[in-house]
Order: sequence, then C-alpha cells, then structure tokens
Amino acid sequence: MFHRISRLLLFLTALAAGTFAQTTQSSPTPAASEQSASKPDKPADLIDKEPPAELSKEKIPAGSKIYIAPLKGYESFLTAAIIKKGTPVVVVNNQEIADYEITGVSESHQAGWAKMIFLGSQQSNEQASIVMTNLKTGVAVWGYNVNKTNSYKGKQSSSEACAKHLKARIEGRE
Amino acid sequence: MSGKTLSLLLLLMLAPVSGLAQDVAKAIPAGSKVFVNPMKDGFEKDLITAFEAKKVPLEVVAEKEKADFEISGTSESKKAGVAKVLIMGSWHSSEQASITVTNLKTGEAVWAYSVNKANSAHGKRSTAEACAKYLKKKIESKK
Repeated sequence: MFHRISRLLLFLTALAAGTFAQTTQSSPTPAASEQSASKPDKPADLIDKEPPAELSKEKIPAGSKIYIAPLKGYESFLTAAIIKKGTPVVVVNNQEIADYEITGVSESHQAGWAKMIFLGSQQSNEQASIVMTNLKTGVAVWGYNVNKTNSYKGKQSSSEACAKHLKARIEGRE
Repeated sequence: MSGKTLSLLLLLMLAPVSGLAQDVAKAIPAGSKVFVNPMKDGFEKDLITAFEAKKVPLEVVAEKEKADFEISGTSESKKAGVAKVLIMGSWHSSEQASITVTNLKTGEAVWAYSVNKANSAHGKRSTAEACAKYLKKKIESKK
C-alpha cells in the first residue's frame, strides 16, 4: 500500500516537473530572444518592424475634396450628414478630382416583435463603419465605427455620428 | 505704414467677396435644369411628382447632358408588420430617404438632405415631399 502511494506521488511529481519545464521553454529569456532575432535564416517576411510613431495622425486639411464610394445608398446619407453637420470638406462625385476617398459598410436591423413587446421600441439597430483614405499615398488616415441599438432616425443618425467625428478629426479635437 | 494699411483695407474688401463667391458656388439658381437619376424602388418618380406638388423652381430634364445639376439618392421603405399594428397600434410604413444635388460642372455636392419617418402617413410620397420642401427652401435662400 505504502509503495503504491509513493509511486503515485513520484509520478505526479515527475508530471508536474515536466509541465513546468514545457512552460518555461515557451517563454524564452531576453537573451534567447535576442539570439533568435539575430538569426540570419529568419524569413524576410517575418522581420520585425517598428510601428510608425505617428500612426494615422496625418492632418486632414479643411476644404479637402472627398469622394464617397458607393455604399448601397449609405453614401447619400453620409453626404447629407456631412453638409448638415458643417464638416469642412467638399464632397465630389468623381474620384479623380478627390484628395480622399471614403469607403465603408452599413447595416440595419428593423425592430422585431420581441423588441416591441419587451422594450417597447420600434427603432432600428444601425451600425456603420467608414474608412477615409488619402488617394495620393493610399494610407488610411481616419476610420470610425458607430453602433446604435435604438437609432432615433435610422441611417441618418449613424451617418451624422460619422460626420460629427470627421469634423472633430479635421478640427483637431480628436 | 500706409502700405500696410492699404493691404489691410484690400484684404478686408476681398474677404466678403471670397465668401460671396463660395456661396454662389454652392447656390442652386431658380430655373436650373436638373437630371434625376434612377433610384431604388422608383423613388425618382415620387421625387419629380413632389417637385410639382411643392412648386420647386427647377426644370427636370430627361438627359443628363442638358442638365446643370443631377440628383441622386436612395430610399427605403418598410411596411408595418403585424407586431407594429398590434403592439404600436400603427399601420403606417417606416420610410427613409436621402438625396444629393451635385453640380455637374464642378462635380461638387451642393446640397443634400436625409429624411426618416417612422410612421409615414403617405409612404414614399411623404419623404419625397419633405425632400422637395427643403430643396425649395435651399433654392429660395440663394446661398
């Protein structure tokens, strides 16, 4: 009986030691990581690059010309919102004369019967995401996501949120 | 000193002119020719009818080449379901629409408007007339 218990304890100790050894191997020491970084046989596409210090901090000048790509009708709401909110940009209908391009996606979900019964709301659920890209450099300079679970004015509300935050970005408040 | 004063005076004189030029660039003159692009669910027809009903001072043309401005946009309509009728007690449809007026010479969007009606009394007609009413206001403001 005593032998059995001692064997079991020995087995458990060995198992624990093995697990600990595996854990310590998976987190290399700084010295080891330096050695692995300096290995010449590392593939070219795995070279670590420092992220740019000023990520997406490019200034968007007021009065820039913006082309809004077709977004299944949402582009029209976005144009209206940009004009309503006084966002200091000029919306153009031709990508060739534009400085920036806005692309994105939007989704709408109408309130179902459960939402009407339990929440007493018939307002839709709206979400949209837009990205603004500098057409000269191809760099995404700004992006914004909006999600409104009870959107008071449907797509109009979500597009106005985007326009408001774009205005803040241009004016340097965000 | 007098040179600086003269420059300042010239600047002050030109500033309002520049602002005026911007306003003119964004203005939609009465009697302009507009082309209404085809829209989802034939909303362009409702819009043209609304222009007549609301007496919007624009001339709608069938060919884009003859137009000064173009109107593009979209419209969405959702009829009241059983839940809305029973729980909310409303059988009116939910409508939303958005239109953009673009100057065809400059390619710039000069005016745009969005409308959302959760309980639209006359369906698409209501949203189209809202667009027409505000477009008329924009034309009459001459800005």
